Amino acid sequence: MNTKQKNNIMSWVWTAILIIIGIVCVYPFLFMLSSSFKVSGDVLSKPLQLIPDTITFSNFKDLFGDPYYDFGKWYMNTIVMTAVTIGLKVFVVSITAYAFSKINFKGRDAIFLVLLTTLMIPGDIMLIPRYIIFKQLHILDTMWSLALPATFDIYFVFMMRQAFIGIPDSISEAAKIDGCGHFIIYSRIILPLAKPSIVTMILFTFVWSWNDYMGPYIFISSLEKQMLSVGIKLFTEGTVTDPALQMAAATVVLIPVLVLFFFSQKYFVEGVNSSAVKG
Amino acid sequence: MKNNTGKKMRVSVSTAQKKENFTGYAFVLPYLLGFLIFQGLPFFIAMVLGFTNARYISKLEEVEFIGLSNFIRMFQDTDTMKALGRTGMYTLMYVPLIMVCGFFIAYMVNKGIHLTKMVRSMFFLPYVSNMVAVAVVFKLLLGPGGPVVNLLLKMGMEEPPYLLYGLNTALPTVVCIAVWKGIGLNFITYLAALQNVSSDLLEAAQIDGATKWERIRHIIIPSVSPTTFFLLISSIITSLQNFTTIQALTGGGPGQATTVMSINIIRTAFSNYQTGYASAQALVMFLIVLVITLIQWRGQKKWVNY
Amino acid sequence: MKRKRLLALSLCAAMAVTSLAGCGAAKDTESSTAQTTENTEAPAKAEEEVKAEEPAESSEASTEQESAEANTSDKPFEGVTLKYATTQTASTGEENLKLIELVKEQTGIEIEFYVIPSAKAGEVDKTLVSLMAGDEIDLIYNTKPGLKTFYNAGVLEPMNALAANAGYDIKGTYGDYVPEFDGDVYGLPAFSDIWITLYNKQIFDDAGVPYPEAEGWTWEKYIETAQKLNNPEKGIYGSLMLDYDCYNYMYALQKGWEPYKADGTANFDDPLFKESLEFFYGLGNTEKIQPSILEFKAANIPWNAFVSTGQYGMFMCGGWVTSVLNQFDKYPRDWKVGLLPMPYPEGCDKSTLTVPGCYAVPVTSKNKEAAFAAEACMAENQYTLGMGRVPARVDLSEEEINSYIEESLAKPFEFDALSVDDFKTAWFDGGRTALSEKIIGYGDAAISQAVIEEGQLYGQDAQDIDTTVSKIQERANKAIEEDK
Repeated sequence: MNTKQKNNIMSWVWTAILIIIGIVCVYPFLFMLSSSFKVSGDVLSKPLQLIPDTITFSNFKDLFGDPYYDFGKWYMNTIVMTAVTIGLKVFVVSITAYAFSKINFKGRDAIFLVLLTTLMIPGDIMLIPRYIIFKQLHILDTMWSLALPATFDIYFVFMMRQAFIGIPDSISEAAKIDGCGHFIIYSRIILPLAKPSIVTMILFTFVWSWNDYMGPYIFISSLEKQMLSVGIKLFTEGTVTDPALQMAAATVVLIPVLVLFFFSQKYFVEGVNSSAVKG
Repeated sequence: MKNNTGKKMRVSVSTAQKKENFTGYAFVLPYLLGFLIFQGLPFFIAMVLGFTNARYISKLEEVEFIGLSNFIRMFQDTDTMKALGRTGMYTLMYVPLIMVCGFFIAYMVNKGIHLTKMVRSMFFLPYVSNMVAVAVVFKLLLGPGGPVVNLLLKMGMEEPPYLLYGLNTALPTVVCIAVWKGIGLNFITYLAALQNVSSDLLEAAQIDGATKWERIRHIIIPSVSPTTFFLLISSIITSLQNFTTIQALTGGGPGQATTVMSINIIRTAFSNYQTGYASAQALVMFLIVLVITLIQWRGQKKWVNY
Repeated sequence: MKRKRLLALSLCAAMAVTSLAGCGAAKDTESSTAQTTENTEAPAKAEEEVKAEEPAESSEASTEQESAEANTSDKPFEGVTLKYATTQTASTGEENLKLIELVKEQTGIEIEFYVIPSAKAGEVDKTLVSLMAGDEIDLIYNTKPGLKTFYNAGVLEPMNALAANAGYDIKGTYGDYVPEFDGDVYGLPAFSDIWITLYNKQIFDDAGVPYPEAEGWTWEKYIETAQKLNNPEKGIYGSLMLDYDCYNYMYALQKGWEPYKADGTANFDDPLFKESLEFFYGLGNTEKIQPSILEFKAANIPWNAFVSTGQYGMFMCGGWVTSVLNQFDKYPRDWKVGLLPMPYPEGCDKSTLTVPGCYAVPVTSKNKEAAFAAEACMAENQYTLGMGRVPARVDLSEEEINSYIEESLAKPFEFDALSVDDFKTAWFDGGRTALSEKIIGYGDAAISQAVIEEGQLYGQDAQDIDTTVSKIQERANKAIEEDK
């Protein structure tokens, strides 16, 4: 009893500490949120006031009621592009990572290392070569110019590979002895066990694709095909630098990411209870 | 594989290996093809440009191969060398900070605190917010009349520094903001890994009377070491791809105090239009990180627990 | 077990979806390429489609198009559609919409926007990337110094031949505003941005200072006036300036300094430049009439602070900032604004900084003659749209200018009751020397970077003046050498 109570107190202490650190993390975000309900002038003249004197929804009205731009269309474009990217990526990346971690083929580590090296190239230097290649492939000004490079990204192959390696071989060995092929082991054993890692990948792929600015800026030209990140920039530029509107735009962009995050929480919680090696 | 198996056995092993090879290649082939087109080819083009005097890609007829001149020029260019030094400083501050903080927070959250969801969301938020919007916020927080300056004033400092604009404070400040922004990924990735740590092992250790610290050291840290290895490499790489963060916060200033390689390369490429020279700089960066990664790759057997 | 089967099933489903998506990819690209060719090869058809949405006009439009073929002398490019790459601010702005209407009316040319977000210094300029990769664009806008990069990249069509074909006199219309590189013209200037001083009449009234006169408006007077307006208790500064490169060397330019020496090397070791640095940063550091550069940067003072805060007595900047003065919904104010020319050093000739905004034709345009005709129309007439532009033309008569100011330029400033004379002395003073706001020449981008970085270090007292000057000189010479 006594130790249990002690533990409980300790965990509240830790909770408090983490929340204090967390508030530091969240403060700029709260600022963003509160600014988006302020009138432009107040953002810079009373920057540290979290609860605005006058609460206004005009910034959001301006965003969605713009006569020139179809904000909703950009939203849809970005959702479709992000969904396609995630769909492709979960499959391509996980199966590749499986091969690099669980199949003992010749030259495996060498190939992987070569692939991994490209992770270290400063990405912007490839913008112009990519532009030329995409032009040849006729995928400029389509969402594929964003979805495909994101799909064949080595970062998450690396991450998934490490996650798969963490799953003991004994599990897959047993299945092998039962006569299961690699695809069965991959799809029925490894993938379910690596669920938290896959959710992590989905989450961050979403964040990256959703927030990517350089890609759509360079590769998408038509307004009606444009993505949210660039659209927001277009919009906030239009009305002379307006910090309140900028903050409102940033808030609106953030909402789907947060929704996805809250949704993904479920899987993390599930992961806590089910120990991976129990089988 | 046992060495004293007969000849027949060895043949069958190699057919099994052949099958394994075939499956392996089949599994990675779709990825490799896509990778070649979308990553490999652009990289190859950029690499070739690094050996030329290319400036505008519209004037390719004027491009000449100039051998290693770009690289020699880079190492004689004091501004670029200083930028390289700053990148090193940045990485040395960023990587340990984000690794330790990320692990610590993930460990605490995983250990079972109250309000887990709320705490988890709090640390994830910075990662998803827009850097440009965040930069505006930080400039206000650190600027005149902001809480940081006010706090220092109350503590009796007469002329509190503007951290983002001091020659010596700008870089560490930028690093801290970058860690704040990037910690979500390390934290979430660690969390996923910690959830895979065998609770049986931990319980057994607890029964054996291992202290909390011993459990962390001997069970948890080794169990998540593949993730640590991944995060270490990925954090080093993230620490080099900091253009957006720095551009939004300081634009490379004051003076050149935060002009790191990413800023230098982009300026060389897109402001001065010295495409070839910028590619060469990128290539050198690539080689440096490659060497670091290879060393880690070699060294991983010593501490990564597979 | 059940769960496992379910997972396998959903995986299969996911695979099916991704392979479907794969097919979709091919289709999508096909249709999009089809679309682009359609757009480029049959602009007239696209136009018809647009018109079809407005049935009342469609018949008229098609007859117009038919007659266009016959009636070549009047509107030779009737029905042509051109693609104009522009930043968002420009394209949805009232001015640009009016401008394409005007072009349509006068030449029959249809202009559609190719909208590109603006890039800050040091960021990738998509228009240039797009042009270098050979994308078809017919019209672009940029400042005269900005066009230099496009010229260097070889993506601009020289205009002398086009003008000769069209029988158009470029020099006679625009004089020295024309962007001329290596002997040919590469753009038509539509307006000129001329530097001015704006002042807040309320702050003058409160301080009991009489409004200054345009005549003899020197830097000495400017500083003297600003000191009287300073009111630290109320947080009021007498003056406001921004952190652009040109502030560093404007004083030197006005005293006759040039950024390049006769032999092509950098001229920053000239004492005039040193004096200029000391002058500009002294305004904040020693005269204390405006925020010091450190305070300016750390407080993140925005360019529109003069209008949005009402805390600055005078504001010395490019004339483009006046565009926010009549946006009362965004920047509500109850105080009036006064207008003066840019100050000049005592004992020197009157002078001001300028930068012309120009239209140019990229080499990728398939209809350069039409693009030239459209741009000539835009450049000649943009100022008449009533958006506060100063024409970049040298062929306007005194009466034309007067009536323009009265009927158009002064209109948006009715609240501030600015007179024709105010505008004439600030923007149409022929006796005032016009100096280029930007350095144009070898290594200009890198030089501008060096001036800002080193200058601000001096301004925030992190580096002494002689080190600053020698560092700028060294970096500028290096930049020139590397750019040749």
